[in-house]
Amino acid sequence: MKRLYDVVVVGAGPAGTIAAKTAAENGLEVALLERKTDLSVVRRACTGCLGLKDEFFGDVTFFDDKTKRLIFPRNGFSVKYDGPTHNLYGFHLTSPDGTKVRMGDINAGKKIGNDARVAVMVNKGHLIQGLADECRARDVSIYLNTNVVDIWNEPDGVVVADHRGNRYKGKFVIAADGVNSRIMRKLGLNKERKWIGTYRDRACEFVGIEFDEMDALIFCMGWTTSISLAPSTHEGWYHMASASYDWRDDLEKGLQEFMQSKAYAPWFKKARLVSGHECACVSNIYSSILVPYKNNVLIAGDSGWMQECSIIGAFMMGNKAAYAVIYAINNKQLNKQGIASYLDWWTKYLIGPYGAGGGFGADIKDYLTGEDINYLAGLVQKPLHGTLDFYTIYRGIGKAYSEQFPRIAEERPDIMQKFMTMRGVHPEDGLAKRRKNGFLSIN
Amino acid sequence: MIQIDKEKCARCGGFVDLCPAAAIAFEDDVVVIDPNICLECETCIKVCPMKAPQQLN
Repeated sequence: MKRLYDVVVVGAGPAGTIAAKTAAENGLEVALLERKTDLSVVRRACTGCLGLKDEFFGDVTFFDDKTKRLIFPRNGFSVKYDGPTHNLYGFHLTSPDGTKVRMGDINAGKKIGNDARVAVMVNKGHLIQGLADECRARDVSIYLNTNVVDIWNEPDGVVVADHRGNRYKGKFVIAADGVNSRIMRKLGLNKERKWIGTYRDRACEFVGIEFDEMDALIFCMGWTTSISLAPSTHEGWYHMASASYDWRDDLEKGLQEFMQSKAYAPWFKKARLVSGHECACVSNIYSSILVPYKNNVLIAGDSGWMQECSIIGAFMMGNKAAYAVIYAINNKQLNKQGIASYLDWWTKYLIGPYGAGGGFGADIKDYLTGEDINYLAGLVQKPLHGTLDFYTIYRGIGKAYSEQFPRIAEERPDIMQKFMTMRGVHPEDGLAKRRKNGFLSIN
Repeated sequence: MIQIDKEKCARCGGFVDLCPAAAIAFEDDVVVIDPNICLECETCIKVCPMKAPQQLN
């Protein structure tokens, strides 16, 4: 290993590819390391949804269909995406008997079209491959089949090593190696974070699903595992996922339980699995890092965020990290002060408004029955504000239900009592439960 | 000996990251277990969402 790059980016996901492209198009010598060989197919479960129009991490994201660009106007950059898209007009929470809490009016939105959409589904492999091609066109040295397992500092830079012993050195490293980041572990940065639990997800594609209001992201509550659905960008396909924080849950069984239930079986009458498109995910979930930096290593993307920062979050992080490094290199400040703009942004727009996470009170599953959820779902008849920003979703649902408290107290004092009990559960107890049902890997 | 059923494996890389022995790696997008490093703790068998790792013994 002789070459000293300006920046070595680890991980060619959304954060890594945008960081590498941005650094290279502004004159830096960049290496991009990725453990997969084929970037055009994503196998780690990701819904592939870009939330639009709601403020998130300080920006409001738009997608322009003419120029095929995802736009971050406040951050001042845009990302090319010329693959297939599918509009989402809302988010639905459903109960076991099929009652929906609607955030966004799907049928009304569809009539309006793009202006009413709250998100756009993308083919993530196409997105990433396109960005990797743009990196190549800007002379980024891309090393595929390269899994970084170690990292250390030398006097003139940061060295990363892959599992075959190959080494790469940069004045800076941008660690965009996703959930379960090896770099975070090796740097000891997980010690500052709260371990929350282990998330497991199993996703697949179905063809022939039919139900009303399909152009939504749907979470189905009250089943053994967490069920979610969204339309695929592939014509006629539908994306289904089954997830859990309990390592003992059989994710496939959980999905079948849902598909065979009385309320939902009609959706799957003509449906069949598209084989070969299974995706999965196993990740140790931690609270977000407060300072995404150590010894000239910047942390960007899911490697430093709780559970998922989303594709648009990762794009913002990668972009900001790259510009911080661009400044530091040009200003000959190869240290923490040089990249301070990234840390300031992270504090002000990420941790400030959203916190680091990690406090979980009661798990709904332990208190509310399926029948309780059916009742509660029926209380909110009018569609709430359509959004796919999860922080907005939580707030919207919280507000809608607290407005219903007098009615719930009168009609179902038993549920009201459960709410009071749940409110009294200490966040650390909820955390303890998730940890008990997870496993922590510290290799 | 634990081996990964290629038909079931989704190639998500979860145990490439989390194997307690660091015995699992990607080789050309295929997930493989190195039998010389594997401790047979069977964590992957218990936790894999696709039930891909199999104990051959």
